[in-house]
Amino acid sequence: MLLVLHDSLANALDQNTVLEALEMIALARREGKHLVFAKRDVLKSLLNCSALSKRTRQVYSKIYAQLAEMQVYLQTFTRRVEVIALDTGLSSRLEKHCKVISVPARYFCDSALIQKTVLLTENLDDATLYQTITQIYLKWNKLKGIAILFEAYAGGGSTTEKAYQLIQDKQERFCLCLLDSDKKSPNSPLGNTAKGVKKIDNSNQPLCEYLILGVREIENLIPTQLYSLVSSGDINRMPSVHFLEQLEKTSLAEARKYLDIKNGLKLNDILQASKNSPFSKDWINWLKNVSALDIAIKKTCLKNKACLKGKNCDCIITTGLGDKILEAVIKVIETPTKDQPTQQKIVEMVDPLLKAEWEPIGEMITAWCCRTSRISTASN
Amino acid sequence: MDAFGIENLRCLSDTGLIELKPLTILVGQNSSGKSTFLRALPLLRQSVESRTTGPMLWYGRLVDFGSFHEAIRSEAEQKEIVFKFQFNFTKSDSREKKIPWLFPYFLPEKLSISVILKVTEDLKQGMTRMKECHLSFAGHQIKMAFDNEEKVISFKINDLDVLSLAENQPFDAKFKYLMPSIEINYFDPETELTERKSLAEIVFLNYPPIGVANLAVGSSQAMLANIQKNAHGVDNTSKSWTVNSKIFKDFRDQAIAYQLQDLLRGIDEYLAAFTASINYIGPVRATAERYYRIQEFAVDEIDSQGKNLAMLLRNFTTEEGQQFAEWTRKYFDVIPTFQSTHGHFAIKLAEKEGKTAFNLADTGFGFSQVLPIITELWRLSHQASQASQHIAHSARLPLVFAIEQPELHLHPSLQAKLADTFLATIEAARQANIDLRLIIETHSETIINRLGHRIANGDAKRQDITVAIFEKEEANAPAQVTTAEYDDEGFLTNWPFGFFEPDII
Repeated sequence: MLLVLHDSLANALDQNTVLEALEMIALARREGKHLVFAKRDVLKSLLNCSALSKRTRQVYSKIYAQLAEMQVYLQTFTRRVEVIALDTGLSSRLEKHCKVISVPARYFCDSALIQKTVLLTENLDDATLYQTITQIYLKWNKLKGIAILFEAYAGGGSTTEKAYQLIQDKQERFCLCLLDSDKKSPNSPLGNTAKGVKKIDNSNQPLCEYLILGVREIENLIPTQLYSLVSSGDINRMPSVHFLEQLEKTSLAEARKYLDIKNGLKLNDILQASKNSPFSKDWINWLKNVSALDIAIKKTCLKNKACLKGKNCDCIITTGLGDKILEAVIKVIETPTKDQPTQQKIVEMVDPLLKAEWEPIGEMITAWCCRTSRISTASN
Repeated sequence: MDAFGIENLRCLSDTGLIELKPLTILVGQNSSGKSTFLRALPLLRQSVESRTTGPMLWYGRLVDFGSFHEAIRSEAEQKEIVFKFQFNFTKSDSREKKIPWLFPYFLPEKLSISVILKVTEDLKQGMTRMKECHLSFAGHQIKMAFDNEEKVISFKINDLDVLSLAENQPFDAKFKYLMPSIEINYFDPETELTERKSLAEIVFLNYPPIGVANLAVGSSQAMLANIQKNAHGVDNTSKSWTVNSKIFKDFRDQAIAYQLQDLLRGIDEYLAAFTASINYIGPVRATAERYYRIQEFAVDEIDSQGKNLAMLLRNFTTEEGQQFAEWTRKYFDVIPTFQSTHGHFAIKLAEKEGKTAFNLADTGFGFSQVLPIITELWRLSHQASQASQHIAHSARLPLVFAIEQPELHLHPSLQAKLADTFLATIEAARQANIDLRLIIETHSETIINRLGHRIANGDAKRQDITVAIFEKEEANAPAQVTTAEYDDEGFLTNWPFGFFEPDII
């Protein structure tokens, strides 16, 4: 997270709370856990403040030395924390493209807040994929000299909601929660987990934030080429991969975002749903254009009375890749070998449709979890 | 000279025009093309000051680009290296005889002139030759192309095909420095005699109205207004002309053609004077010696390796020596003293007045490396060599000092002092009415940030400084050049994120 030291701190250097907070923030920067920025005059005040430790002043001196280059921080990140002297409570406001989270200095007196940002996801594999997505986002946006650092918390189902509530109530950690939307189609409602977190989110506690994916599940974010690589030679998975490949070539590519990648999709699922449900409407609408696809489902199937009755239809739109597919993909990402794709190869696999989904995720994680190199020159 | 650009030189694909401000900083990773850009300036100087068979002297006393074949970007689609210049004039520059050879026939208005020179290789002879010369000003476009034998093979002034004015007659281009001078071997069918004619004479043969010869050149609007006000041999019908009228355009282009020779000569002289005012110090500088043999050479400027530093310092008058000592004391906390004994000359440095002075050879390597630079900075801003100052100063041409990696061997605190010295130099030059442009190629993050601090502190003007950033997407990709500026608070805008940061571990 980018921590911006507000001008008010320079006038409050006689307050122990402010001094303690400045020591903690310097430590966070020294350890490379967060970024720190302040105006020139504020930093000058800190450099001249003998009440601060020598090490802390060295950290701020280092920041001061590089200040001319740092304006870009303010222009880049979509979230930043403004550390203020007065204890007026937590608040946030929008400034151009950026949500500015105002945090009184006293919150930093406890070392908890300077620790790594918590990344709350459904499971740890999710966090690994999000890390890759963010690393690629940094490359796309030429954000050199920045890395991300987070402490992954695995939620999953109702646990995610409970964990988010707990962290939010404690008010002592930065936390970003990433949620599957579980939307079966564009107009379908959110799934229970996303709905639950959305409901308990307290906008007055801006140290925590959630982001709901624009796709159904994390599996919908994985490039088909990566699935193809992982599924090569697997007769159960390859038909599903071929379906995705064909789908992406058509005007129905949008449907990929809502497809159940793990379990596949049967026509019966759609027909069983209420006719007026968004899921049914959206998918029937897509399937009317199915002639564009050379897939197992036949358009005649939609006219078949037996199918329409919804009882005996066994038309398969696509089979699924299975519950373990994310795990398989992560294994490939985590253990690159000469036969496995490098990150650069993965970048090439991301088509514009997926890139549009990856960008906001990368942007949000970068804002909450950005870090830079440690400062080794600041000694005791 | 207000802006300069290059295409297809080494790894540079197209730098675009980079504005040359009083302080232009070039930054980028190794092999990103910043040195190539900087060295193109001394390349121009050595090309113009030497007698050469072609327009470029790729290997000379200042820089070594090898040959055209080695200098051109290997992936360049067009086998041509392009040099681009842009400079601004006002009529008063000419009227006040600051630039006596420039533009007597121009309307009294500010003029921005762009010149593009394309050089290529004559494969048969293995020589560099001028391929094309483009000139644009006041909305006019002039394009000339030449063959291996310096014949003009195409020549357009706006819509006018100049070669059609004397069809089947050879137009020859002669090059004194960089710009062509056009002559026509004109065969007169009536007299059956061939004689050399100037472009103006050819225009006159084709377009007799006397007004063409007297029409001052400027923007289309200004030229039209001038015609309509002063007739210029045109009857009252000119009142109905507009800038888009074909008859006006013909008249205008012929008038430009009539004046073009003077314009080309003026620009050639300007470019020659500009290149003569380019000073350069490279990244490898001579090691300090304990004693230097005294030679009776007159030394005007520091050479590109600082080898003649001792001789230049020895030539200082007492007053100059004192002024220089004060300069180095003020900005670098050292006081140089000079000692001549038995045909030898020694340079000594003391930390303070009255303190023991140590021989330059016994001080840190950094001082001996930076001393040629600070000496030349002082000389250019206070003294300036007789030759270059005479031409440049009197013609209000900029004096250019291009320096590669001035921070070599300097501790960051001294790098910061060096940045301060750059700012002090441009201010001192300004006070002396010298248009000094420093072009600094550097890897120093300290210098970049120090300039920001100075701007924020009110010690420098942000408008005086630009930072050109050279970047490559991949090792073999052409370099891209962008510029960053400082804002009023000394922050860099358009600065690449984490530019100086290594990969994070």
